[in-house]
Amino acid sequence: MTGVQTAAGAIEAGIVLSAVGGRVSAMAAHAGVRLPVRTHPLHAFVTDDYAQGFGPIFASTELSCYVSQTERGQMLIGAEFDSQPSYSRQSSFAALRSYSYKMTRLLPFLRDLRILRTWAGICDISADFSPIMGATGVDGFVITTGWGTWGFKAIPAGGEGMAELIATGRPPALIAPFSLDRFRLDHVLADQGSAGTR
Amino acid sequence: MLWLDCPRCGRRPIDEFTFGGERRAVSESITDVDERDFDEVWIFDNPDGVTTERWFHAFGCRRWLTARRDTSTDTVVGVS
Repeated sequence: MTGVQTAAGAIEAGIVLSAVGGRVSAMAAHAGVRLPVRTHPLHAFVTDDYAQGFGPIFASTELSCYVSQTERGQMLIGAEFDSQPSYSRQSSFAALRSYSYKMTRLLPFLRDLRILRTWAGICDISADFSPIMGATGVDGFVITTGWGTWGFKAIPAGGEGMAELIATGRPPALIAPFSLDRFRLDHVLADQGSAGTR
Repeated sequence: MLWLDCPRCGRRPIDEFTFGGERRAVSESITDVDERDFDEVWIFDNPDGVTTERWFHAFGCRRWLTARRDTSTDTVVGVS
């Protein structure tokens, strides 16, 4: 691959990196790359303001849910993604009910708060629930995807690793186990439990 | 998607079912036997649109069914 076509014209590049989230299967298909990735909706909501400060990001891998406080004081709550893949961004009452139940089991004081806003976004999830970083088999085309599970926790380190891969042509040790060919080599990563969303 | 029409049990809540993955034929263009196995096990079409997939009625009749579902809206088109 030597460049990309965009609405604003052609852009030449020595190496093209796909770092999209949400529709990576369609993006990779432009380069003829097929991926072990499915796209699932993930729901989230915020409550009204909680007066006290709540420092940590609090997650349960047992119940699959997490909560953190935004800078405005709202409690931001999310949980597992829908079991069936889809590109729907319709947030559902069923998800709201399930997340509320789980979260108030963990932090009963949240019962007194009201839900302010709810939404759903789409996440690319790999077949072993770990991100995919590195070569695609197409010369000059590298990819970082499958972040629907580890997302905000590990993406900054993943970005640094990809930058080193592009600069040196070799994946650094930190991201090497996350190569796309791990599925072909039977080296899938058994870290499903650490994701906190499933 | 909140409900699924099981051919045996009727309309049941989606929580009773387990998603079993997309059902598709491996492309004829892949001829190598190992490549065909790899494609079938690990690769997903992951389409944005109507797709055929398998569902298991885990908390019902415990039988498999085949559903046509539109993934752009997460709505079921048909069940067999």
